Amino acid sequence: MVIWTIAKTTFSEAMRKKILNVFLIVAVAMIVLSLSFTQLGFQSDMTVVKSLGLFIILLAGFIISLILCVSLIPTEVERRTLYTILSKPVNRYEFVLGKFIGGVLTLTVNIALMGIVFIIMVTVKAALSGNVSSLGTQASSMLAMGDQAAAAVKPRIFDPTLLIGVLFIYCQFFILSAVVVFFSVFLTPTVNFFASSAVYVIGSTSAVWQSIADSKNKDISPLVKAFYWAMHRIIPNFDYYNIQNKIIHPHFEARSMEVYVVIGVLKALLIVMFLMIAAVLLFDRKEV
Amino acid sequence: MAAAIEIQGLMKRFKSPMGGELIAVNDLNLEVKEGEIFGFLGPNGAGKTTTIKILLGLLFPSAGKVKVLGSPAGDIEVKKRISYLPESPYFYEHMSVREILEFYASLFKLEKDVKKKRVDELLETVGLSEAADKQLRHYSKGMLQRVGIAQALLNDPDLVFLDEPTSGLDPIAHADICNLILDLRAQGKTVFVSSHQLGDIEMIANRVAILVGGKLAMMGDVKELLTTKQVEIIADKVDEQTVEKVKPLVDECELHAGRLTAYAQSEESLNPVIDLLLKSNAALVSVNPRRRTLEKLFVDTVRGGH
Repeated sequence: MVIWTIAKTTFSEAMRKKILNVFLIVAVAMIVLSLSFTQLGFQSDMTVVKSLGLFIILLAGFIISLILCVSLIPTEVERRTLYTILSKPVNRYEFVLGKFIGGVLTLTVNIALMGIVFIIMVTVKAALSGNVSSLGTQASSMLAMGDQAAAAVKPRIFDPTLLIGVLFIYCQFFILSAVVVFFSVFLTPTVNFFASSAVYVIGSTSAVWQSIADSKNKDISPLVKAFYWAMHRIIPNFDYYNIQNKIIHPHFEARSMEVYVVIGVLKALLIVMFLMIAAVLLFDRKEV
Repeated sequence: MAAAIEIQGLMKRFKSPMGGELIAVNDLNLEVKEGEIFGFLGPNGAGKTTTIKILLGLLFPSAGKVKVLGSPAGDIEVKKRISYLPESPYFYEHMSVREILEFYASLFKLEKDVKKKRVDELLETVGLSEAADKQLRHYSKGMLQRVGIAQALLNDPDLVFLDEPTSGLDPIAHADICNLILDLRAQGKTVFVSSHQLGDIEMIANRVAILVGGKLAMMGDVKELLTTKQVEIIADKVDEQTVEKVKPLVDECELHAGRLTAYAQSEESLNPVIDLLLKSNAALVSVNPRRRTLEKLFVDTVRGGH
């Protein structure tokens, strides 16, 4: 109950942050404007629109989660609102979790709004064009993703894989928010901003680090390999959720999309849980 | 009377960014009795806020023992019975005072009906009923201080920590808050108040402690600390020759525009001084027991002249 009280207050305050609202409005406007793109023929246009839309959501989500979460706890210390809260019968873990949940709720609403606008726009564009070949493309895309049953049925105007794209973007920033909140327990907001950005960039190129770590090239020192192996293993693998290109260009290799999605969501939950436990343990002994 | 706060050998060290160590509180021992108003004084940087934060469980002691209402500081059960008003409190400014008080009341897990009743009562107590639905961003410093007082009384606490409760208040609000603190004592509550408003502390506190450089420099009953054995004599129309005769009989004397202010040590030296003044046709204005002000005691203590 205390966690929820703190989360609600955090959410109501965050939703009033003008800077976040500006990003949200600009992102939604850009998604809508991207539909006016009619240069390369229907199939290519749809590819560009999907690609651009998902990229805008990704970019806005990255900025929103960083700007929002980097200040969640430090601002409470700076404004001394933390003192009036922690001097009441509030456990420190309740405070950290309440702040995190409030931040995640804000992120959820922002990404959901952008995602809904994006999916509606793409669906409307597909429906208005009435182009059967485009639906054929969608079916072949599903087939390539291993969804035989989906391809066998009559093609639909609504492309459910877009939902997965938005969900996976959300998963990335769900994890990133936890990373930022974890760092905010012991880093200053500026250092946290750069540290979390670095974690995101490294985690988004996890496949590269893995390939170096697994390389059979003897010129690479075992120490270097161990370092890249550790980077690949320790830093959250955001690369797992980068399936936009696979959605837009149907060369997806997973045998079952459902399993891939479920594993992705479970991974995100586990990583967030681990980070929150670590944040709570650190904050419990932190002097404020 | 049982102790509301017990501090034994408290020490708090901070590591400085340059690698050194700063001792904010050093071997502090004090006891605050239940039902008293305890003034916790000291110049800036003396360690007052650090001590309060340790008592609230926001900081952890480097050494020593701290008990609040018989339990270790920071204990969640104890927090249900205490409250805190920080210096220059800040609140979520997008909320109204009613919303912020309801938010804090929720942290005490008060029932919805109890919460509403308590919030309404406190809005009335601190005089904010009219502005209850106004966003806090539009509140003045004095009004925010009243909100701070209200949030500190939500749980009907047994022990209240007040850090500069009258700072930034206009004279009316100032008097209201002082009266409120006295009311708390009348209700049997313990008030631990840190303030630079020494006049307030002198007026309301039962006992005071003065902290200098993290160490306890003085502690005691306000009345006892401020009472002296000296008698103050004030007379007008006094000339230089009379002053010269009075000087050997008193501890201190000062002549300004014909008015003499002298401090005699006891009644034995008082009568000869009065005789001298009357013989020299001076006009005797007053003869009173001398009472030190808390401000004088504070300054003397901090400067080491006590």
